[in-house]
Amino acid sequence: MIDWRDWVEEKFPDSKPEWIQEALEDEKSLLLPTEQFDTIVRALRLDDQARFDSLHCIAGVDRKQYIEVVYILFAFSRNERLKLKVRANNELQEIPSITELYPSADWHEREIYDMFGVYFRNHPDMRRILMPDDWEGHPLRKDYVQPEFYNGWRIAAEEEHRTARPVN
Amino acid sequence: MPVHELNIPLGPSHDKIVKLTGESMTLNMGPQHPSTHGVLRVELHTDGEVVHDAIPHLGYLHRCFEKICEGLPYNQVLPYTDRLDYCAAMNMNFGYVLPVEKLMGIQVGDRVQRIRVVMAELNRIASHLIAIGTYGLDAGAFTPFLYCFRDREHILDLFEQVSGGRLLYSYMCIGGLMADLPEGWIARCLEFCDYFEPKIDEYNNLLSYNKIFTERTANVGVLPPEVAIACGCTGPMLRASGVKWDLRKDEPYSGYEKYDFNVIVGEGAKGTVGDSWDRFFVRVLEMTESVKIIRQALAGIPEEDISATIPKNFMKMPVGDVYFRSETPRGEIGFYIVSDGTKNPYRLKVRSPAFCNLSAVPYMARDQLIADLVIILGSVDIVLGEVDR
Repeated sequence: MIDWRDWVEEKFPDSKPEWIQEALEDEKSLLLPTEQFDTIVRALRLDDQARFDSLHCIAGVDRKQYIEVVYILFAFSRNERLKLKVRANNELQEIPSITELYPSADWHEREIYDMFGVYFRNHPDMRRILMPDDWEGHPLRKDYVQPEFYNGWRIAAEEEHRTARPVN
Repeated sequence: MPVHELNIPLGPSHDKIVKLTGESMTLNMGPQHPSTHGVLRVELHTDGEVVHDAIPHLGYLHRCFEKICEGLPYNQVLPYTDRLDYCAAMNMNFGYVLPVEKLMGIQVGDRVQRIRVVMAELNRIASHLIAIGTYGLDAGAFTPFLYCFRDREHILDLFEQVSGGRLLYSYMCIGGLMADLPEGWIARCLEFCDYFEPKIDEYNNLLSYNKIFTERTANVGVLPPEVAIACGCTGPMLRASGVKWDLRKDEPYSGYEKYDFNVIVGEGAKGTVGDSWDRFFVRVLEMTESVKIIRQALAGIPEEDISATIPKNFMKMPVGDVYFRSETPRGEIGFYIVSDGTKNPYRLKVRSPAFCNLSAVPYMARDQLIADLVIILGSVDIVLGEVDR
């Protein structure tokens, strides 16, 4: 079993990858630098040793200081899963797109853009996917407040319904 | 290899199509179109009868599922998972309770595991019956649809007896089940298995081997295995392309490793491997495998308290994230849950199988006839509740 942190560090000495482990041991994830992200993923995709041939899922998480994007790669031949994390913490909130390597990233990246406002550089068709094109704001951000009007229609009836409801 | 470098082969029937060089026309299929199985709009760029580009537009059924979940405790999220894939609500419950149990470190008993497997497989049959029936409808065969719904009704009766609901069950809960099986339910379930198995031959005679139907679906919308993997397709769609991959076998959960069943793959019996007929037929054969699993799961079912492991509250959640996937009738559903230690999930992301399967449609639809697009979309078996969330 290859330790992917060491593998990445060997190939990209200045990338400083690190494992993040929280509650569960088999759920640790590899934190990669934003600037080199697409080159490292290219290596993980095309290198004979790695060959992660499928991108399973991309999820965004608003960690308040930064937006974290989680990639789940999968190698069918070895039944091995790798969880990557990358942070969009600069002003532009930009992450290199990996659509060219994994066509399945196309819609997932559009969804992250739609929900979190993270822009994927070099994505062929960077527009909203679930929300209407003229919607204001990115709903899954923690500081999102539902707009009162959409195209002149009143869409929020009461003030207390516009933010997440506290539950006792 | 990136998909645009792959040379996607077309079916033999397309040699006959004369490439027109007239002006291109844009057509909207949907959002209110019977063959989109919900509210989906596909923007078609056509040249005569040939589709050059099909661009799905989603979001007509977007209900902010993930945002709603952030404001609810873990146990109250469960009824919302029913509404994701309303054709296979049990599988959605199953897919949600497993990651939460993994995060909390709950080990459920053998009886709970077995009952959950039986429910998931029954719902798989019910969902495949809808897929098969409506696919016949898309191809112009009305009668098989009625036969399928007749048999699905028996499964719904069984579900009604355990949960009280006929479409949305919320039967499983974190750490156990809502209620134990009622008196005599196991006997009725086995009775259904005996009744149902011979019916599969009926569907085959009526639809699967029907000359008109095979001509209509074979060699249409061929999805090669490389493209299927690249687009993130899972479930019957991936298996129809010849990739032997089933989470129940390859990454077993909830005791699936104990049961003996086959993973069905597409063989291209009527045309090419990975064509629409294969996708249809994989579902038909999977129903027989599900019946096998149900019989085995019910055979050694122990008497146990099904509510022993249900947590009292969700105040002491471990901090961390968890990703867990399970096999639903449409493919692999993955729940990515981030917990910050409070009773509500900090973030809950659904990796929806139909969403990823649908993203392969532009590849399959390229240079096909408009009439075949209905066949291709039907063979993907999408549920828009899950695509749009």
